[in-house]
Amino acid sequence: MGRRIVIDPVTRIEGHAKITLHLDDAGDVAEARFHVTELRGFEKFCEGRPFREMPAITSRICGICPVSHLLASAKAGDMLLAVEIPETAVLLRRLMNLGQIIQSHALSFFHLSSPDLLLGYDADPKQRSLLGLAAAHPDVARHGIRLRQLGQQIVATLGGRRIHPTWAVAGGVDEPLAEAARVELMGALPEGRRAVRHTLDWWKRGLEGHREEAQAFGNFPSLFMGLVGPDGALEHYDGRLRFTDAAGVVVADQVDPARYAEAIGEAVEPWSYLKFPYYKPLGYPGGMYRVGPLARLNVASRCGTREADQELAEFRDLGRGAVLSSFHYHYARLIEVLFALERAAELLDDPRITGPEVMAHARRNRLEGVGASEAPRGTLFHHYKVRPGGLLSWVNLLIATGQNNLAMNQAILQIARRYVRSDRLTEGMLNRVEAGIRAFDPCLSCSTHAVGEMPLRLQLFGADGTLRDERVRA
Amino acid sequence: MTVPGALVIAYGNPLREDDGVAWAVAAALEGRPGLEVRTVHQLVPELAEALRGAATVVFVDADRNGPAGRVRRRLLAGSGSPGPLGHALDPARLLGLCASLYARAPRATLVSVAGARFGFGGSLSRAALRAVPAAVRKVLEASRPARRRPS
Repeated sequence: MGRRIVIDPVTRIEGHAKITLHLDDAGDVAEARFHVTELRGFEKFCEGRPFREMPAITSRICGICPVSHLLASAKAGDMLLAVEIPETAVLLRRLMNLGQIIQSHALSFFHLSSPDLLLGYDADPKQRSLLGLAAAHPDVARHGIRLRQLGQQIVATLGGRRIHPTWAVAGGVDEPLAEAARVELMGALPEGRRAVRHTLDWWKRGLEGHREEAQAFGNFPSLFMGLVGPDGALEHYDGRLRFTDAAGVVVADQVDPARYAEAIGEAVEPWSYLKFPYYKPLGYPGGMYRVGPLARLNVASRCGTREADQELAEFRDLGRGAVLSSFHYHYARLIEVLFALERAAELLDDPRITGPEVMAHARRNRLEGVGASEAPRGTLFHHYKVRPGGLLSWVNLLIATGQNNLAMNQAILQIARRYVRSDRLTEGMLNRVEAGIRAFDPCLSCSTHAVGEMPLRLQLFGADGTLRDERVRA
Repeated sequence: MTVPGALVIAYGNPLREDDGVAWAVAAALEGRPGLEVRTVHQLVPELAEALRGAATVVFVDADRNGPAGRVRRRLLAGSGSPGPLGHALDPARLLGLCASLYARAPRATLVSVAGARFGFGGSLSRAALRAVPAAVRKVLEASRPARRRPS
């Protein structure tokens, strides 16, 4: 008789989700599903709003990645205005995006995933948090806190607050950067560099100890997608789309993000509110692709900063062609933090960054606009259609986590098949399934739920729907 | 970063009526010499760095229990219990985190104001509003440097 295991909710991710594992008669995992159980509805209720309001509205989608929505939305607004924004505004937007990437990656690596990585998947769940980490490995936790605070400092300096800044607008940004603030930010970067340098070296020394997870946590061929510059370099704010395959071969390059819909289809399944984007030429679900730090490092020809390029060269030794294991999202995140700090220093050293001209003024000149940028978790698209008066008639948001949806489901199946047996349900096995999801750092766009305070409920159902077994994590 | 006097961390949600009473207390403390006043929606791990540099910290929070308007002051000790970490910490666990990370934690006090209403809204109840001056006095008392023990 087939049975079903439910992990509900999945903990230490942003938002609400549950995982169901469907077992066959032999007790082996036959199918795995990652269910996103909340509906936000932003695309619908934004219809009728003036497009200039969208950066402020959509940044409320999330408390972790508000800057990503702010920037993608402002860029869609730039396109509706049909303006080229001042170069100072471009530099400032780039800087804020890097600040966001630093703080979000620090949150993912140190606060959410490090407890598993350092304390072990079989450790007491009460210990597997930043607090347990601080007690056992205070140096690692200190670096995490420092980096997260530094990223937030960049965002707050530019946008006036750490979370939900309303500073980027259609046509540019609301305020220039003062010289004193530039100097202060510049002075804060070296400590961040030391923190990530230390963490990267420590991570690489211990990587061999994670060989098993690297083999089993979402290690499979897929496409990868990310923005790259004209020369193929790592790009987080602008650029064009590149798709590569598992062998590292470029299958599509320099695709205009405004034409994303020609390359990406969006499928839906009845059991999840999260869409299932796929690469159109390969169809659904064969067109599975991954986005985010791992994908960006796989598609980029180089990072473009000295230390990050050295790290990228080492990182590439992990795979022939592309690095395929989703476990290495963690490693890729650290390299991106290093890159962000190096690039931030370059930007702050550019005399144009304190220029006074930060806005291009125009009325609406187009009826359709697309804004794309790299959010911490992957490429983010905001696509708006407006009526002549500037009110939105249609909105599509293609978020990073959605684009990893097919891959996350595939990763869960792979992990569950390796670790879960129906006759021996242990906390550690089920936490490995969760950890596989956590490697992607999914953001289910929910900033208001106290994730860690909820119990983890595991249920076993018989094929007739009756509850056979239950485990509760307090 | 070193805080020369006392660090006051006023926290709560000012869009949930009396849950934001700490923000009103913070506003009343603004400009007082020797105090660094911060307002936050919730206590997050990053605040441990700020605690590290302070000799004295006073947390100000709303209290859901007790007669509306009651102001209480109590000393806090750091909690070593890790437990699950949600989106926010309580003061004791934040102090415990600070001690784990930096091998020290400041002398800490919690000043709480019992609220009457915690619904949606940006204004305080009459009881909470009336309690603000008393809460300010208790924060100032708690902010005074600890007396040195005779050697």
